Amino acid sequence: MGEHHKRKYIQNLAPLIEKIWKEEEEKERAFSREHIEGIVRKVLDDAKGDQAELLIHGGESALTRFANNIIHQNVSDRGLAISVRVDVGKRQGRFSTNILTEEGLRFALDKAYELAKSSPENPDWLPVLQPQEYRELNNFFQKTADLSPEERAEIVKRHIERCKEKELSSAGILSNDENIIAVANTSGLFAYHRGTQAKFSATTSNGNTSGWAEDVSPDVEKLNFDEVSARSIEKAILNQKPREINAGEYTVILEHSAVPEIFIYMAWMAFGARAVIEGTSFLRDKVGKKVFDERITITDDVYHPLSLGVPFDYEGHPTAKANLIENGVVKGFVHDRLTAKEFGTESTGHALPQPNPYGPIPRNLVISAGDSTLDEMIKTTERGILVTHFHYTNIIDPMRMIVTGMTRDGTFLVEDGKIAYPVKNLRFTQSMIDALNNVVSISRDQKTVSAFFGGSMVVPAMKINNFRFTSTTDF
Amino acid sequence: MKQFLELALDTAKHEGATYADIRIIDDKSEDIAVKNGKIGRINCSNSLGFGVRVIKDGAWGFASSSTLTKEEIQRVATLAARIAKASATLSKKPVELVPEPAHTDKWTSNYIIDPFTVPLEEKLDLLFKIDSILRKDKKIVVAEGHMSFWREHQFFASTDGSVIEQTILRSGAGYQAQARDGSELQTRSYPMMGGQYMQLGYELIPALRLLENAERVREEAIALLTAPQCPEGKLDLILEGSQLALQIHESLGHPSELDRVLGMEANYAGTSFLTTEKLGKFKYGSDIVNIVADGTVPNGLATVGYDDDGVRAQRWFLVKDGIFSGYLTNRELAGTIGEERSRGANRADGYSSLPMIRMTNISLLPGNVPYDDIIADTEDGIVMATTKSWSIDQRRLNFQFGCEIGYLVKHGKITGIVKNPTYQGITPEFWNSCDAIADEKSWVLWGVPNCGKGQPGQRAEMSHGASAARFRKVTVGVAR
Repeated sequence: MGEHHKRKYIQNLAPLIEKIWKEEEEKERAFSREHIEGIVRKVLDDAKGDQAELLIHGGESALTRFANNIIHQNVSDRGLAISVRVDVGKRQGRFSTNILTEEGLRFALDKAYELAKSSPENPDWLPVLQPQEYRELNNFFQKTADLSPEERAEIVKRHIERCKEKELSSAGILSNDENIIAVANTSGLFAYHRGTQAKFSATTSNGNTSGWAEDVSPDVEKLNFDEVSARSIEKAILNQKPREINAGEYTVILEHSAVPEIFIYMAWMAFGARAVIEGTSFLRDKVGKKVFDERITITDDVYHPLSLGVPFDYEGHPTAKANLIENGVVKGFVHDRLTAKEFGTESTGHALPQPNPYGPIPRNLVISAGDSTLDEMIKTTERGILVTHFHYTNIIDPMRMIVTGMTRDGTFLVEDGKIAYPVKNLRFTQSMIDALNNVVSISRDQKTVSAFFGGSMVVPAMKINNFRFTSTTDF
Repeated sequence: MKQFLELALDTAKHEGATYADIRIIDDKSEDIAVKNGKIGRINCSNSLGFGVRVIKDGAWGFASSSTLTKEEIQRVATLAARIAKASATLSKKPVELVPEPAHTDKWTSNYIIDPFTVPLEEKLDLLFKIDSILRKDKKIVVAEGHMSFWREHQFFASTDGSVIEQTILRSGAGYQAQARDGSELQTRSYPMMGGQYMQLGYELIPALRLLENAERVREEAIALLTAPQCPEGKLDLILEGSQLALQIHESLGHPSELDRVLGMEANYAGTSFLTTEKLGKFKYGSDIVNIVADGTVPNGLATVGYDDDGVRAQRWFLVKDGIFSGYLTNRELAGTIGEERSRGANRADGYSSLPMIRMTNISLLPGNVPYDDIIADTEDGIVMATTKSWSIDQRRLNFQFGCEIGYLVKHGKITGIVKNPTYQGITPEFWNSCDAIADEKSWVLWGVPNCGKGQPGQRAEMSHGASAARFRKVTVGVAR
């Protein structure tokens, strides 16, 4: 490029760069603690009723989606929403809006007040929480927040080029999110958290079957794109011409990404104190009793280095580390302030917005590590099945924790300590209580992974005996 | 509003878009629940926002925002074009939309009573009455009833010349009772799992006869505590309507989405066994199986005047006389299977989501046999009612469903109930074993208000009309 063209190019580019900077500054201002606190003060000052609680959430999220080796969907959204709870005596009303103009906020306040006046008294009413101290939790990374569509396209291209070299086709996502959450109330409580999350996921196909890999991190610079790319390609190549095997009981080696399906329904249906009070949790009368293999220890720990989360709940209560299962023995449950009162204990900071019919739920499960590795698990297996991850799981019986689902994107028969060959996908129908009593080994390393229907947790890989596969499919 | 619509399209064109559309949506909703004699939730909300979709350099870009100002529309339209340009760096051939006439229209769903004008006290009064009936027996440990109402008001404009305003009102309600005795926990729901939803106003609520069924639901939940386990083996299976609705949804609705078929959902929801060479040839079900997709059926949750491509709603066969006959399509993909016009099945979850192929209402046409005659004609079978759990593989072949209650049928008569009924099958084998479909007297349009798809995840609503139907020699009792 000649000097003249260079100057012209820079002249043309300058307004665009200035515009992008201006937009970034505007976003920075809109999402800042000061701006959010300003909105909160204004709304709380204007609130009618006896007390009020606010929840602000939103941010900016972008996602580049690819399939058949092209980018086919590519999106970005920015916005904040506010949910206002107004209490009149023990009557409560909640109104939510994303219209954060003076008029929009006034409307929300008036509606919440009207709803409270029309509601019956809540016998479970509690005064809003007093101001709290929060432990620092830094999972905001500017580079993640700033990842541009062009940068996302470049990373995806790198992966697709590798797939093309191997004559494979890939589908997946690369996303970057910036999330803001704040809770405030008329007692002066103000909790604010700003975090980021980046995710890269790839399903790579050899035409008939596929391989899959995924990584998630608050810091895009720690996301291992090359490893995800390589793993999905390697699995796609390994998973050629899968053979059909009979359903039945097998030893399974669950890679990290398959493990959340063991625990996610317990998280939703058994570890929350409301389910215990109502008697629908299978752990309701098991405190102090051994329910799983002694190597199973489960906590809810947002401060674990691999957790993705927020250090307070929707009441503004600091979230504590909760010990749920220790060496197979039931130690306790997660609480909000209401269930804690009913139990005569302290809230663990796991509330959803009140009032709600669900009660508290764990959001950052951590399954303790063991002393094995995935390789050792394979080497020590005479005959078993290696599972990459599961598809479309669902709970059949919450009391026996019977869950069903399909294997997906790489299921392999292990024989004599080696991966023998890929097999067609299988359906399992298995009590997860039984599974956690049939544990053979647990890996030393842990990863952050998501269950099929959402909910991330920190898990090791696991080897389990007598895992029950009940039917097969055609691929 | 017009100035906002024009500004978005003008900005996109100025940024080099060869096609652009904007949707501005304001939503209003009310969601209330009563659980165990207390308020479960009273959440009311409104929202406003817009999304701009563009094709530039032959590729898609989409951006959205909740701040409806001129400056923000310009920012978002410019960003959408920038994103499209980035998409174009990894593309094969330019996106081409099949033609659709430009429409200028206003469309509103039908309803009689605006639910937002009905006092909260009246709604809560009904839910508390149901709650007290359900909890009359101490074995009921959880009783939960709910009502939801939401109105979507959307303006759509595209560079193809369409300007469409639509207002859709949807309502729903239902309840469930959970009975426990020791470690046995059983559930009954009414009218179906998660409640019944339709494109109607508050008139739906009395029509559901919620109060009138509460005692029966309570007693069935309690009876299940001592009922025998569902037998294992092969039995003739009669699915009641709401379970058949979910069967249609999972085993035909999703696999006939053309984006899935073409691999565009491969990374999450999956692909489809209904590959394109099967169109018009594949024996999906027995000869009596006729299934229609219908964006026009009155009161269907997915009934619209136009989809989010601006395509007028249509009705067509997915399965005709047992043969797989049609896909769900949009303007982007209809051409890939040689169709000249989209079927109008492109919908987005609110303003902040990119429109994608979603099920419209998909219904199994009624047969000509009264329901009672199917029972009378069944020698050794089981009726399963009300969805409890569902799971299906990513090509939609191997499915396994659980229901709340099973009724054993021996020599043409119902002989008793069983707990934890489950059934499992492979989609085409299952539908080809269908040998009786009940007549229109038991045909109901069942609502699915929370179908998930896409990355980022989107929710969509649709209905499935079904009467009961019988399937021969199905594997039952898998979950022991």
